Order: sequence, then structure tokens, then C-alpha cells
Amino acid sequence: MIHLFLTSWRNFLRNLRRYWVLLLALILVTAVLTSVLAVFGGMRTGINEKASRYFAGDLVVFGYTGHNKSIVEHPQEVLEAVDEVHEQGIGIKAISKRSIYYKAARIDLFYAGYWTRQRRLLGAEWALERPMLENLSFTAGGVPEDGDESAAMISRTTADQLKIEVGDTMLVSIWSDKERVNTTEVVIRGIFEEPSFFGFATYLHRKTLNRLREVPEHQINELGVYLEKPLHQQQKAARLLAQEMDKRLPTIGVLDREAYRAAPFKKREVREYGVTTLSAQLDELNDLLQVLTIISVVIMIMFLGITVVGVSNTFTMIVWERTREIGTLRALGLQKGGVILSFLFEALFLGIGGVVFGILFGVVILFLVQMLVELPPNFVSTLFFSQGRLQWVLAGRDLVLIASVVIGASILGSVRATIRAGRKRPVEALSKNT
Amino acid sequence: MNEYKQLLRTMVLVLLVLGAAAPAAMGDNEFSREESRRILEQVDRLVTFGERDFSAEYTVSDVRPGQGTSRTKLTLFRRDRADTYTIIVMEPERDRGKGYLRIGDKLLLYDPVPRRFTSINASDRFQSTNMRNSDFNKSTLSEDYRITGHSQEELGVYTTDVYELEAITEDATFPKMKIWIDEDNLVRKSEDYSQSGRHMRTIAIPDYEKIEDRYVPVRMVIQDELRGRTIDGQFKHERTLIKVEKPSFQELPDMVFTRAYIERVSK
Repeated sequence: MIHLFLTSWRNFLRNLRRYWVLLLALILVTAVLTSVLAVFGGMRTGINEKASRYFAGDLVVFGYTGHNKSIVEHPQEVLEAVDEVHEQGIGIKAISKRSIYYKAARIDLFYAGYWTRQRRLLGAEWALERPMLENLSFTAGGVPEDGDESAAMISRTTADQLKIEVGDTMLVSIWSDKERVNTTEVVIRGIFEEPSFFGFATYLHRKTLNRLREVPEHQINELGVYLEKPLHQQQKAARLLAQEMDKRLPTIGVLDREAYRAAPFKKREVREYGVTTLSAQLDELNDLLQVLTIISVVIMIMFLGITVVGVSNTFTMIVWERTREIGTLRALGLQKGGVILSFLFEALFLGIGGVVFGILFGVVILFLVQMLVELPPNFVSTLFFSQGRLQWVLAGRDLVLIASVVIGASILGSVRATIRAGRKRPVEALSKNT
Repeated sequence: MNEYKQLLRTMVLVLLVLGAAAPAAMGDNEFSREESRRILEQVDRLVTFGERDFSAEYTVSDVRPGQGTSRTKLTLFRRDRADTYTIIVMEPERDRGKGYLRIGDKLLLYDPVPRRFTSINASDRFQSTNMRNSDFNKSTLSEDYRITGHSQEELGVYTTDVYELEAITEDATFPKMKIWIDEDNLVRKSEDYSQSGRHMRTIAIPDYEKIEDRYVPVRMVIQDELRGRTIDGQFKHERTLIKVEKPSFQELPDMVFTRAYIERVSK
């Protein structure tokens, strides 16, 4: 077998002039697949990042008694559980301690006579969430100084509606938790580009939002965890966190989508804590990610089909051109199976060559686009780019997928021609004039 | 000539009320709950129609500096004894047929396009103007507020008692208020404040019409203290002017205060 393998390798190298067009095609196919998957991976990561900022983290801990509102009364115990999860190999980027106000028709922002509405007020601690908030595409200012309770961050859309700039004082008006109008003045410290619905949220300091809501200043509604690998470790991390919390607090485990919706209203004797993932919190995000996955799969299948057809045609031609060579090998005693295997090995080498050079080519293209292209913040650039630059992520899983598809297509495409080659009788093959 | 005089008087009063009227000095006066209630009940009584039904045509003009003026015409049917009202929007064309039905604490908005009622909040803006849906309710100052301060102030031709109020129920649209009461116990001006003390809205009521022993405010100006535009270097507030015509205490059929009635007239 090893001998046949080495012979095939030698034959592959000697016939490279016949293979080079096909090799080039496979390199291009691999490069395109690499780029598409990497960009989609970047988009998935980007959307996940935006959603996690909006929803306090990739994992969020809630505490319910059945009165709808979540309060985390034992943050220290939750943080200890988070530390334990980290000890068990889950990478954690940051944590958040949020106050949340979510009454879409009850949040008004005013500046110099202009006004606009927001969907959500997010009460954050700048120091805790700085690593995540700094990834916002700021068009002016940035994340406020640690502990700046008078600061606020708004989206560019909101800033344009209010005609407000960094340094201006904005009035925020809400219906407090005591069901009455309350207002506060905040200074705009950061304006970020976010035209999607994640942009209809204003960031305030947690204590400021709590005062505005007329709840205790130190109250935490949601304690969030930002993961290093949110797309891959979300479920596992949620399970581990729920287990660790269960050792310290009354818990209700990991809340899936249905449980997450029902949990706030179920009456409980004591405050019980649950963990939910980002995907359980946002149906629309799941739908979007599913669409991206479907598009990637469709592209994969399309490329697989094209590659199989291309490889099949080219191999038929190669086998036809090498008929006398096949006849000689058969006359020297190589069996039918050996001929087939020999050509399949050559297809394997072709596929591997296409994958290696194609991935390299694709990565170079991605690097070049990332380095050379910088777009100003607008709808398209903030949706597909991060801070004006192309964001791409090539996971190991994607590389395996690309390699499987391209090598598989190469082998699959060669099967028909190699079987034909194997069926050739030595006499017929040797009598062939080419 | 009389009309001209009345218009002039109204304008002078509105200017005094909305423009330069300095906030009245906070009084140190303390009022017991009973005293508060007694004073505010007198105010409520004059503009509440107890056993009678009330109906009128309202013209609500919303003036947005630099953005134009919109006008809404509506008919209000109110029955204070049952704590209910029905509003049918007549103009503008795009909103014709919309209806509001208040029954107790519940307020429903009927949209004739999807033919559906949706529950809305009494404290929300009425048709995006500076009015709140609760402005159509009967006056319940004595139930919703207590007096926390008192002073006296000249307001145009009126000598008024200025009361600072603080909400005692969650039903109050604004947690703090100031009201200017004339010698006849009629509210001539009010200011609405947020919990943190931010001045949100000012209402001036220059004209009342006396019908039997009750008063109907027939001209009101509501100024939004937060919304407006700077034009030629001067900040101009958004204002809503309300004109009430054909006020009547004629008895109304019970049917008027039902969903079926709104659906029928909206066709």
C-alpha cells in the first residue's frame, strides 16, 4: 500500500502539467470558501458581540421571586460561581452588573427642544464592561471614565435625531418603577455607530439609572458573563455556571427559551437564580444566525457540485491521455484495484494541494482586505465590518469543513474516471494510439 | 368689538402665564390631609359633572415651531359618575374613525383600519400632541394629590392662590404639580413636574364657559417645556391649543360608552 502511495505521489508530480489547471481551480474554490466562511464567521461573531453587549453578556444570571423583575441579591455568590467556571477552563472576557430599564414607549430623550424615544436603558459599570464597550464603533468620544455617573453613551442615529454632540447635556425621562415621571440629566461622553435595533439603547451608569428608576442605587438586575468563545462554549459554560450556583444559592438551572419567558412570572418562596444564554434571549438573533448558516451550507453545496463536475471531466481527460501508461502498469502486474487506488491517491494529493494553497490564498486576501479597506461608519459597514474594518473569523471547524468538502469533491469527481481506468484491459490500453 | 377685547384679554393672559411667569415662591405653609382635600375638592367640583353627561367638540391644534401645525377635531362624550369617556376622532382624514374608550382604569384605542382595540396608557400623549389621554378625565386633584405649599400671586387680571401639589396615588400623571387658582376656585394655570423636579409642561386655561352651576374650560394652551426649536436665536416651545365648542349636559344613551358604538360610528 505504501509503495502504491509513493508511486501515486511520483505519478502526481510527473503529471502536474496535466493537473495544474484543475489544481488552480481547486485553489480558487478553496480560497472563495475560506473567505465566505471567514466573513460569515466574523458576522456571526460580530452580531453575537453586539447582542451580548445589549443583553449584558453571553450568559446572564437572573434572580426571580415571581414579580416579573429580576434582582441579583447575592452577586458575591454568583461571582464565586463564575470564578469556578473559569477554573474549569472556560475563558471569560469580562463580567457585567447591569440595571435594566425596558419599556419601549416610556423612555424619552430630550436635547435643546429635540426629542426621541429609546427601546432600552442599560445601566452599566464602565470599569467592568470597558473591554466590551470599547469594541463599539465610536464616531465621537468613547467609553466614559470609570465611575463617571453623569456620563451616557448613545448611538449615532439617536445623536442625529437630537442634534447632540459629545459634551452636551441630555435629559432622560422615564416612568420610574414607582410608575411616575422621573428625569435626570446626563452628559454625552460617547457616540457609537449602530444602525440596527441594538442602537435604540442608551448606556448610563448603573447607579444613575437606578436613581432614575427610583430603586436602590446598588441594585443589580442582571449579572452577565462575556465569554472568550461565546459561539462554541455558551451552552457548556451555562451548564457549569448553573451547577456552581446551585452549590451556593437556590437555583432553577439553565433557562431555555420557553423557561426564560416563563421564569419571571412563576411565584417562588425565595429568590431563585437561573442562567440563560444569549440565544435563549433573542429569537431574532437565532433566526439571523440560522440564515447565515443556511447560506453557508448552500454555498458549500453549490461549490461542491461545481467542483465534482469539473474534477470528473478533467480526470476523464487525464485517464484518456494516460491510457497507455495504465496498460503498461497493468501489463507489469498491477491489479484493477491498484489502478483505481492509484488514481484516487492522485485525486487526494490534488485535493490536499488545493486545500493548503487555497486556504493560504484566502487568508492572504482576507488580511489584505482587512488591512487596506477601511470604510466610514454606515449601515453596511457596521453590519459587516467592525470599526470600519472587515471582521473575519476562521474557526478550526471551518477549516476541517473546507478540507473535507474540497478533498471529498476531488476524490468524488475522480471516481467515475478511475473506475473506467481500472476496467481497461492491458492489451486494449497498450494498443491505444494517443 | 367684544370678541376683539376677549381675544386681546386671552392673549395677554396666555403670555403672562406661559412666558415670563416666574415660579411662585415656595410657601412654608403646611396643610393637613383634610385641608388639602377640602381645597382641592372645591376645585374639582366646579369642573366635574357628577350626575350629568357631558359632550363637546374639541379642536386640538398642535403647533410645532419650524415644523408646521397639525389639527385634530374630535367629539368627547363623558360620564363622570361612571368614570368613563368616549372620544371619536373626526379630523384629520387619516385618523378619522379612531376612537378612545375609557372605562374605569382601562383605556382602549380603536383603530378602524385593522378594526382592533388596543389597550393604551392614560398618561400617554393624545395623538402625539402635548395633551395626555388623562387630560380628558374628570378632575381628581383631591384624590390624587396633597398640598405641600401655598403662596399668592397676581396672574394677569386674576389674584391667584398658588398650590404646590404632590401625588399621593400612582394614578396621577405627574408626581408634582403647581396650580394657580383664581377667586372663583377655577384653575387658571398649572405646571407639571417630574419626580426630580424638572418642569415638563405648562397649561393655561384663560376661558371657561359657565353652564348651570358648572364650568367647562373652553380654551386651553398646553406648552411642552422640553420640546421645541430655536428659531432666529429664540427658543420656541411646542404648544397645543385646545378649543372646546358646543359643550352640552344633555343626557347621552348608555350605548355611547361601549365598544360597539365606536365600531359603528367608525365605519
